[in-house]
Amino acid sequence: MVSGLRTRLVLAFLLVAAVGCGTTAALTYREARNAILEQAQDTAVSSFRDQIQELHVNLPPNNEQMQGMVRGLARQGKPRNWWVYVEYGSVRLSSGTNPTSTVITPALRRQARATPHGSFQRVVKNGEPYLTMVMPVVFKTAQTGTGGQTERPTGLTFYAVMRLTDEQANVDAMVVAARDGALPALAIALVPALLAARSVLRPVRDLRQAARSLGRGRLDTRIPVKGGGELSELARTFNESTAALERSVDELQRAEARARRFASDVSHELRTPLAGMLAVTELLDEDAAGLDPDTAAAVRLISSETDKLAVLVEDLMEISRFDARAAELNTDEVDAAETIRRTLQSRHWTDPARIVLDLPDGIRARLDPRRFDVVIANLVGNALRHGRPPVTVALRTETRPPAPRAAEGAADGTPDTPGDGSTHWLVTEVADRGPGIPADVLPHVFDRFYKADQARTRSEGSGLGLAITLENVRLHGGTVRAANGPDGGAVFVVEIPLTTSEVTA
Amino acid sequence: MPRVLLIEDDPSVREGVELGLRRRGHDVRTAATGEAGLAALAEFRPDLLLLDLMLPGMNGVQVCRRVRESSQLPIIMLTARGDDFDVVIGLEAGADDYIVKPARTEVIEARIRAVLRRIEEPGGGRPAVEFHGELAVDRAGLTVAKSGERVSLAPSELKLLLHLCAAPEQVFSRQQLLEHVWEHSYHGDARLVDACVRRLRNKIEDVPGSPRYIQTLRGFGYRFGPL
Amino acid sequence: MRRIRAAAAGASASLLLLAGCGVQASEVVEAGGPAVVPVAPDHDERVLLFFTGPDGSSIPVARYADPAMGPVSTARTLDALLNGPTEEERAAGIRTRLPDGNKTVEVRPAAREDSRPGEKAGRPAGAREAVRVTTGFAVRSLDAAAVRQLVCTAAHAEDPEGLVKVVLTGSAGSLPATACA
Repeated sequence: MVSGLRTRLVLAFLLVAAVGCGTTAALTYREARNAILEQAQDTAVSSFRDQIQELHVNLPPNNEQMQGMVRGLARQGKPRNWWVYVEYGSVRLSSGTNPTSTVITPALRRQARATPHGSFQRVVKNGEPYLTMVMPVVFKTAQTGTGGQTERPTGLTFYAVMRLTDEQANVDAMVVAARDGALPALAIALVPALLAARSVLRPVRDLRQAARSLGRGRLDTRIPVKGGGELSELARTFNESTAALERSVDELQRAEARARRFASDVSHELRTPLAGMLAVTELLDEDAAGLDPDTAAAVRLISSETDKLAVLVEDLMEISRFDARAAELNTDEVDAAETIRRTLQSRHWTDPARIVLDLPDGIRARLDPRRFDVVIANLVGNALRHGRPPVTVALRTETRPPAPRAAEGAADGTPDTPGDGSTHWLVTEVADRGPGIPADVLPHVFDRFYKADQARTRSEGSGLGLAITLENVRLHGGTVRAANGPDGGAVFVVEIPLTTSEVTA
Repeated sequence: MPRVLLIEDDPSVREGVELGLRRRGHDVRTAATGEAGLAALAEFRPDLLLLDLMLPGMNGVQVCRRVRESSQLPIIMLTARGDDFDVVIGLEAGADDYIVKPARTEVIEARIRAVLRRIEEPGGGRPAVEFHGELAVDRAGLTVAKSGERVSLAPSELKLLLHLCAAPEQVFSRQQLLEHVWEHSYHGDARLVDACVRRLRNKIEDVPGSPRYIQTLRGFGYRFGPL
Repeated sequence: MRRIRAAAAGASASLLLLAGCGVQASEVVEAGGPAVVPVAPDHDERVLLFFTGPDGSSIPVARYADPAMGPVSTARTLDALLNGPTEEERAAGIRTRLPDGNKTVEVRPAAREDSRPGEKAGRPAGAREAVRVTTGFAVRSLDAAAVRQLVCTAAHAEDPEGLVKVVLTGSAGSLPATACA
């Protein structure tokens, strides 16, 4: 099976052309060949008859007489040489060496005996065409010149065998001419075929391009609809479909935007009352001591939940900003180890039994300190909450060959390229000694509000910590992965392209 | 105890913050609009202004500019995180610090104390007035003059200048300056430093575009001089 | 698509077959009449005897008869026929199917009611329209070739055109009137 619309169209076109050419050529050829052969046959038969009628025959003729006749006839062979055979009674004589011909068919002999008519037959023997003729000889029984009508067979029958090589050559020449005419005609037909295929395929190509552009997300792609026919129908359908798609995607995007907008608005609106509440929680905490125990408990509950609500709302706001692509990266060149140490210090995570540090000094990196602080604090806080101590925080740099990892790792990163195209990465690893992350949870750890344990409806965090971590790392052009370490325990690896300022003035 | 003027349109925030600060012993006066706040300013004579950026009518940035026209009153902006653009404009307009709402009273109070805290005097034996090029810095009187002319500096600007010129030619990272001048955490907003440096340069440098006094070391931070 | 192509290919192939390539063999085709030749001796100087070829076909033999002796009678002609081909004629494969032996033959005009006078134009006046030939042997058992020998020889002896009908009568019954064909 031939594939490709263009190939099929061209082939179909050529086929039609070939059938047209072939039919015309074949019909013309047949007519011409028949004309050639008829001409040759009629001339041969009538000249054979004419020459026989010149003879004078004794009844019975003796052998010398008959031999003379066939030789004479053979000599006068017209339009070209033939072999002449004569049969009389049991006598068989010929102008050649064999008294009888191997070419003449029994059918021709039977015909000669059955009717007093001249006959011929074309015979192909050993690939060569022959014309065989038979001519029974009759005589008028009445006196010549008296108008007598009765003719009786003399018993003499002459045969002639003639090669049709000239005719064959002519016919062959016609075949060659037909072929030589048809092949260039086909070759010429290829040009309109290609043009036709091109014009037929142009809408198909347009469609392909449109589909590709649609695939790239250009939903406003449309195809110009020209004229009528199936292809313009197709174009119209395509346009209608893309319009419908665009509408529904638009709708979807608007709905998503509305949902995000709503989340953002809700957090925004929550923030103002929270600001008031948060300002007075201390007051509540301090005065709780003087209240009766139940009221005190209630007041403390309100106070602590207000704190948590404030964190949740803040995280929601942060996520909303990422979704709205409103998050800004305010980078500064800092000492990476120092930054991490400060993060841990500010949260009092300094117990060496719980936190093991491997932070080589002197790695300067361009980071947003606040966002990097959030990243490290979330990961370490997470490890301390869900894993078992000690939690290891390790820092290192990696240089990678240019192509595969870097390209896949950092889409937006513009890491240092030291000439050979390789990239430098700041790699921070936070590992704990806990049970690790179950395999079914692993793909979802960075999802928003994803709870590994469904029974635990509320974690200590907002449920957005790792999602915010991921967004912050991405904002740096980096990646963060979660995995399980070789000796159990969860391992989070943050990779951020190292970009140091080129001038150190 | 410091006298604090709070300009905040939302009654719950206004009331909550007022309650919290008063409980801690501050003398608090509140205003619901910028206009009312400016009016209260002359009469109440606060030590510090807590200013919400989002106000009906005259907004916080405008109030800030108006205040800076005539005084170097310490100003702390109240803002919601994410209103990044407003923060930058507020800082450019002369605010000394900002607080992201919602915030616990202790955070607000700590910020107020930090802004009002006087920079520690360096060890004795130093002259009261230091001269750096055309700049005359009076650490005792907390005044700065350039070519004999008094330069009025906001509290954060003054503290930054005093901190930097106390150790000429020493490089301070933004994080260090945040910690020491603003008493923020190490991971605070470096834009505070940058905005303050810009304002300071506009006041003391001959050509703010190519500074002599407050120099930038790309990738490291700022230093005073060398002249 | 595939079906159309197959159909088109089939059509073109059969067309090519129909047209054929080069010169093809053919059936036997009739082309005009036979060759007509003058026969010696001439009409006036011969008697025509119809013998049979090896394959049963009719082969006429023209024997010289001196015209000065007058026309040869039908009976004498039939006598010559019954005497069979000459040595020379036999050498050419000429045979007779008539029985050897009783060679008596008698020729009489047949009943006039067999045909009406003046019906056939161009016939010499006085020619008989039918003759009865009586042989000394049985004619009913003769084969078609033998009957044709007698009929044609008799008819042509009676009339150069050989259109006279002949009634053969033998020792055991006779045959219906027959013309030489």
